[in-house]
This record gives sequence, C-alpha cells and structure tokens, in this order.
Amino acid sequence: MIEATDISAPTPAKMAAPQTLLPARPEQGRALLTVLVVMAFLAALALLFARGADRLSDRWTAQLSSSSTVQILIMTEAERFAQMSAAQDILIRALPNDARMTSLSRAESARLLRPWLGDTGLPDDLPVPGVIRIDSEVRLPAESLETQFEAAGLRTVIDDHSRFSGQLKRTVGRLVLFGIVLLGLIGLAATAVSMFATRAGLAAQRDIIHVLVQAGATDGFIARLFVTQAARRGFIGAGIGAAMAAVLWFLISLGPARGSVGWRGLTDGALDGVALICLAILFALICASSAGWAAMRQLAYERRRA
Amino acid sequence: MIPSDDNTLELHRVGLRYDRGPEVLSNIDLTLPAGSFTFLTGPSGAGKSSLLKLCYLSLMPTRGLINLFGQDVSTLRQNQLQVLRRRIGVVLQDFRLIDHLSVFENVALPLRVAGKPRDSYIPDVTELLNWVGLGHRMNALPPTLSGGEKQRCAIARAVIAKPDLLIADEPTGNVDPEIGGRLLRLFGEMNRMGATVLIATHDHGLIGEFPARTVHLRDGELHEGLGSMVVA
Repeated sequence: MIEATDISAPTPAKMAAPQTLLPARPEQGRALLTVLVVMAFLAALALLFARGADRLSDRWTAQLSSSSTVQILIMTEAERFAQMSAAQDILIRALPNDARMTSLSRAESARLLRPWLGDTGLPDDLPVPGVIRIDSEVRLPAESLETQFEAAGLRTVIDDHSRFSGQLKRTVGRLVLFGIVLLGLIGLAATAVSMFATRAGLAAQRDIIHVLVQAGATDGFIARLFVTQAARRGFIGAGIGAAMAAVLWFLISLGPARGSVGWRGLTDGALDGVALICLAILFALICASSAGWAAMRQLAYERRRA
Repeated sequence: MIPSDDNTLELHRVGLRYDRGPEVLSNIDLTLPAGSFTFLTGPSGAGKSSLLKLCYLSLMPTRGLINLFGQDVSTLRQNQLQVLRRRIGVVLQDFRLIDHLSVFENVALPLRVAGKPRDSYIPDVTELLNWVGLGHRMNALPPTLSGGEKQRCAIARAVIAKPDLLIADEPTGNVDPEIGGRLLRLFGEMNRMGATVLIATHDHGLIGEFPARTVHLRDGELHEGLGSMVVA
C-alpha cells in the first residue's frame, strides 16, 4: 500500500552530508588500524632516533671542535719551563683574544699517562710531555702553528679532535642512514598492507562495486572511494602511532638518558613534532596512493577476467 | 549492420556463452527504436537475464555486434562505456540495493555518480520517493524494507536520472497489483518522456494491461510477438 503521508521525511540535517558509499566494516577496520598504528609507531621511533642521534653528534662535534690540545715533547725536565713558555708565546700570538689556554702541570700531565703506565710513580727525570689545552670557538690554525713550533725548535703534536669527530660523524651518518632505510621498509610494509586491504575491500564489496559500475561510476570514481578510506585510516593510524612515539620519547628525555638522544628543550620537541606531523601526512599519502593504485589495477583485472 | 540514430539499441547476430560452455544466446537480432516500449517474455532459463545483461552492458557478447545509442560498444573504452551506462536505468530481480545506505542515498546514487551537486537533486529524489510511496521510509536501510518496498526503491533508483534506456527484469514480481499498475504507469510515463523501455516479465496480465511490442525468448533464440499473443 502506498503511503501518502510523509510522517518521517528526512530532515535537512540528515541529508546535509552524503553517506559514505563504502561500509565502515569496523571489525576489519580495527585490525587494520592496529597494524598501521604499530607500523607508524616504529617509523616515528626510527625518525626520532635518527634525528636525536644527528643532534647528539652535532653537539659532541661542536664540543670537540671548540677544544684542542698541544703536546710538547719535552727533551729533558730541565727544559720544561722554557719549552712550555716558548709554546705558550707562540699560541698567544696565533690565537684570538677570547681563546682560553690552560697549561697542565707535570703532575697533571703525568696523571694522563696512568692508563698506560699504571700508578707507579714516574722517575723525576723522566721527561713527561707538556700539555696545553686550548678552548676556542675558532678552529686552531694547525699547519701554521706546526711551522712556528718547528722554527722555535719545539717538537709538538697538535690534536684538534678532527679524527675523532670525523669518526663520530661517519658513525652517526650510518645510524641516520639506517633510520632512513628502516623508514623506507616500514613505508613499503604500509604500501603492502594498504594494497592488501584495498584488494580485500574490493572483493568484500563486490556487490556494491557492481551497482556503482552499473550506475556509470568510472574506475577512478571507485578508486577514489578506497583512496579516501585508506587516507583517513592511514592518517589516524599514523597520528596515534606518532603520538605514542612522542610520549615515549618525552619520557626518554626525562629519564636517565637525559642529555643523550632525547629532547633537550622546546626547540628539539617542536622540530621533532613538525617532523612527526610530516611523517603522518606521508604515511597517509602512502596508504592512499597504494590503495588507489591497487584499486585501479584490480578493477582492470576484474574487467579483463569478466 | 548500419547503426541508426533512430534506434536506441541494436543487437545483430549476437551470441553469448559463459566460459567454454554452450551458447546460451544464439544469433539474437533485436532492435529497440528510440522511444519504444518492449516486453521481453520467455520461460525460466530461456536466457532473458543474460539478454538483459547484454543490453545494459553488464556482459559483452562472445560474437555479434551491439550498437547502443548509435555506438558500437566493442570499440569503446571503459570510460566511454561508463558514460553510456549512465544513460541506462536498470531494475534487477534481486534489486541490488546497497544495505548500508538509506533509501534516499540508494535512489540518489546515479546522480551522485554522475557528479551532480547534492543540493540539486534532494528535491527530485524526495519527490520521486513520495511518488513511489517511500516518502516515509527515506531514512530506512534496505534490510528493514519489505520486498515490495525494495522493489520500489530499485525502480526509483533506475528512473531518477531520467535514463534514455530503461531496462527492468521482472519489475512487478514482488508487489501487489495496485502498486504493480502504478509502477507500470511510471514506466509508461518515462516512455512518454522519451525513454526507450525494455521489460522482462512473466506477467501476462501486465502485458495485457499495457499493449506494447513483445519479443519472446525461447531456447536462446528470439521470436517477435505482439501483445500477449506471442508467435514463436
């Protein structure tokens, strides 16, 4: 019987927004979201670790490059004072005014040898190398100094820590590269998961796809439905995963590792926050583009098979 | 066969087989002139649904030619076929409603797919739903509808975009005679507005009530008839 009265006509509010053409499928959606959250969490940790290691390397390198040591190979202990004074004079002339110079006493220099010579006292006449530590923001002019020391008849070894900081940079560079590779692998896994979910979605929604095709929907229209769904899921998953990683990183920054790879201030946190937002957007883009590609391919395949 | 612009649909020596099975349709010649109204009858298993699938491009023939709206469909790319499909309204026996969408959304689907702005079609969909007696069920989901309501919803979806070709498979099979008559008048109205209509039905009462050309499908072959008096 046809009802003439419109007793529960849809209100404008109910019609304001169109319903999504693909069903939510909460049971499958939750499992997929969990996988994406875990992957995003790992990716965010890899990113934070790489950035933290890079920052730490910069800090250490900056500390190392601002301090240098000059070892003066004393010929005899009787000449110590004269040779140290000569070296200091050369350094005072060569270095800027704000450079700080600290000459170690014989006892302090001898203490540096303990790891190699042990606690037994050194003979008084054993010439212990003289050590002058220099703290300066300006890099030590090593070659010029060496020439001047040589001209003054001094045998010296200048150590500006460049070898150690070079090794440190190379090591951190490898760690950062490892982090990037890890991010790439997680991105690859996200691509595979998104493609699999799209194929499963297409198979599960075969009837709906058929209706859409019959209504004249193009492959692009149908693929866009999956792209939107995947992008939303990817962004939510990445957002949750990144937030979890940020909380963990915050705790690391407070804990015993304070001053290591963790955040040392608001600037570190803010920059990493921006990086995490970019990661979430990238994650969503990866999910969306792989879903779109998988949908287009699958639709073309289904048509060929039909 | 020379395609004619006067014909909406032309099938010429069309054959169809599923996979490597026998031909379910053989040498089908069918022409639906623009603005015509045609009943397709035949016993169960004769191939009516398969023939309709060919007509609404859900299947492609294994041999023969199909011209739709003056275009040889075998030469068209996928996107061009989709443009043609938007000009066809289809009512299937199993309705194919989307369960998680409301009645309103199901009916509005072809307009949404065609990219029409939402505001532009809300009044049309509402009016049509009132006309087919589903005005009070607009927000209902298909699983909560009766068989007759589902059928009316499917018919409303098929006609909402004012298709040039309307194809229906047993459209009045699940409704009482009063609603069946009303739905048939809707098809007639669409036909008067210029749509070509092809209806597959077993209902000879329906055919008698609405005199029109009738074609009869038997054993995969098509025979021309008139009204309910089918000539093999």
